[in-house]
Amino acid sequence: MWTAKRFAVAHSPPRFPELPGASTPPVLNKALLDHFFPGEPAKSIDTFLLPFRDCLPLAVDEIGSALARSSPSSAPGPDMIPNSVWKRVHRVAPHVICSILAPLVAYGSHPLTLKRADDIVLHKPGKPSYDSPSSFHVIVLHQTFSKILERIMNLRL
Amino acid sequence: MARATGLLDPHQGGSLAGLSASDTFTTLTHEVKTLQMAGRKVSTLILDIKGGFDNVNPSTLGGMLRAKGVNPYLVFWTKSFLPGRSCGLLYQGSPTVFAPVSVGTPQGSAVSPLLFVISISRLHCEIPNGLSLSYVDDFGLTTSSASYRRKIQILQKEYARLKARGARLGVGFSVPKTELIHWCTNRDRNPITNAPIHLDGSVFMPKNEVRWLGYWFTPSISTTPHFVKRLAKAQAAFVAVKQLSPSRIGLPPFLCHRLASSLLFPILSYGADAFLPMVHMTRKLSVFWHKVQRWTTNCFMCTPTDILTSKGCLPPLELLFRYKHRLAHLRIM
Repeated sequence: MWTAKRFAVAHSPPRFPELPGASTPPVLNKALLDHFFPGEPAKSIDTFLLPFRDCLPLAVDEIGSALARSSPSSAPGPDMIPNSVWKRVHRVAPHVICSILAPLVAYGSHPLTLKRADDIVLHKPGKPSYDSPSSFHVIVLHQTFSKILERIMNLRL
Repeated sequence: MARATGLLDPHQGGSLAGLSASDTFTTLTHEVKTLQMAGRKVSTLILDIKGGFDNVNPSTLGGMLRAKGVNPYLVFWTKSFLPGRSCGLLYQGSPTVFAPVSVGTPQGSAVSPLLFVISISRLHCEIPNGLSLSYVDDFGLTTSSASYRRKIQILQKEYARLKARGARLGVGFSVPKTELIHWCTNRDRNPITNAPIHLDGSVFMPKNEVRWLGYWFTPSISTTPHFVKRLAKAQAAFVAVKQLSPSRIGLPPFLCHRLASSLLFPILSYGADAFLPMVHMTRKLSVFWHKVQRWTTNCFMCTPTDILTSKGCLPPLELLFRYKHRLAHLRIM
C-alpha cells in the first residue's frame, strides 16, 4: 500500500531545519529540543529495588502474544534491532527473551538504557517558510526490546 | 484490570478493546436521542485537551494506581517507565547525542494511551440529565434542559467544573478546537437556535456541521454530510490510484482488487458501523463503487453491474455496508 502511495503521490523535496541564529549543529539541536520538549526533564526516581513476591511470573506465552502484535517491518530505535530479529529469537529459543525480561517485571523496573529513543524530525508540508521549529514535527522510534516489555505491561494493566 | 478496578470511567473510550471511536459515537447519539424522546432540548460542547500526553505526572499517576489497589509491581513499573527519558534528534547534519527530555507519556509507546486515559479519568463526573463522554483526549459534554437559555447556563457551569478539575491534574483545553452543537429532531425547525456560549471570554457559535472522532454530524444526526465527505475522499484516492494502472498497462487485476478492498473501501465505509447512508446517498456511493469495479476488471463501460460484481470479486456496496453495520451491532450485544 505504501509502495503504491509512493508512486501515486508526487514527491516534495525534504526540508531541513534552518533557524535564524542557529549557525552550528549543537545550537540548532538545542533550539529544536527546547521547542519539542519544553518542560524540565524529570529525573528517574532512584529507589532500592526489591522483588515483589506477589508479582505474576512472566510466561513465554505473554512474550509470544506481545511479539505477535508487533509489525516485523516497523522501524527500529537507536539499537537498530528490528522486531523480526526478536521474533526469530523467540521462535528458536523461547526462554531467552523471557529470562531477560522476567527480572524487570518482578522488580517493577524499566531501565534507563531502554528509555533512549530516536526522534526523526520531519517537515510539515504546505508551510510558507521553514525557519521556525513549529514547521517541523517529530516521529519517535523506540527500541523494539522496550516495546515488548511495554506491550506485556499494557496487557497486564 | 483497569476496567475491573475502576481505573477508567465508564464513559471513557479509547486505548482498550471494545472502547472504540464508533462505540463512543454510538453512545453519544443514543444518549441524545433518549433525551430528545423525553422532550428535552439537547446540546453538546466538544472540547480537546491541549498537550495532554506531555503533562502526565508519574507521581500522581502512581498515586491513582495505588489508590485503586493495583498490584505494587505495576505501580513501581509505571513510575519507573515515565521519567528519565532521553532522545536524539535525527535530521541531516544532526549531532549524534542523546539529551534528557520531559515527555510525559512517550509518543509511540504501546502503553502510553492507556496511562493517559487513566490519568484523566478524574475529569469525568456525573451531569444531571446529561453525559460527559470522552475518547482519549477528545471530550464531549452533553446537557439537556427544557429551555435553551438554561441549557447554555448548565454547559457553562459544567465547563467551569471540568476546567477546575483539569487544572488540578495539570491539563488544559484548546480554545480553537472547541465547538458547540444544538441537536434537533426532524420535527424541529432548522436552525433550531443560534444561542452562543461564552467560555473564558470567547464566544462560540453553534455549528451546523461538526466533526468528532472522524464522524461528521448535523443537528438532526443526518448521515448524508458524513458520506458526502467520505465519497469525496474516496474519489480523490481513486484518482491517485488510477494513475498507477492506466488501461492495458499498469497493475494486474489482483493488485487492483487489493487496492480497492484495502484502500478505497475502508475510506468509503468509515462510519458504516455506526450509521448507514440514506437511499439516495447509497445510490451515489454505488455509482462510484461500480467505477472501481470497472477499473479492477478492465471491463467495458456497457458491462452490466451484476457481472462486474462477480468478475471483480467485489460485492455490492449495500451488502458490504449492512455487513459492517451488523458486525458492529453483534459486537455491542
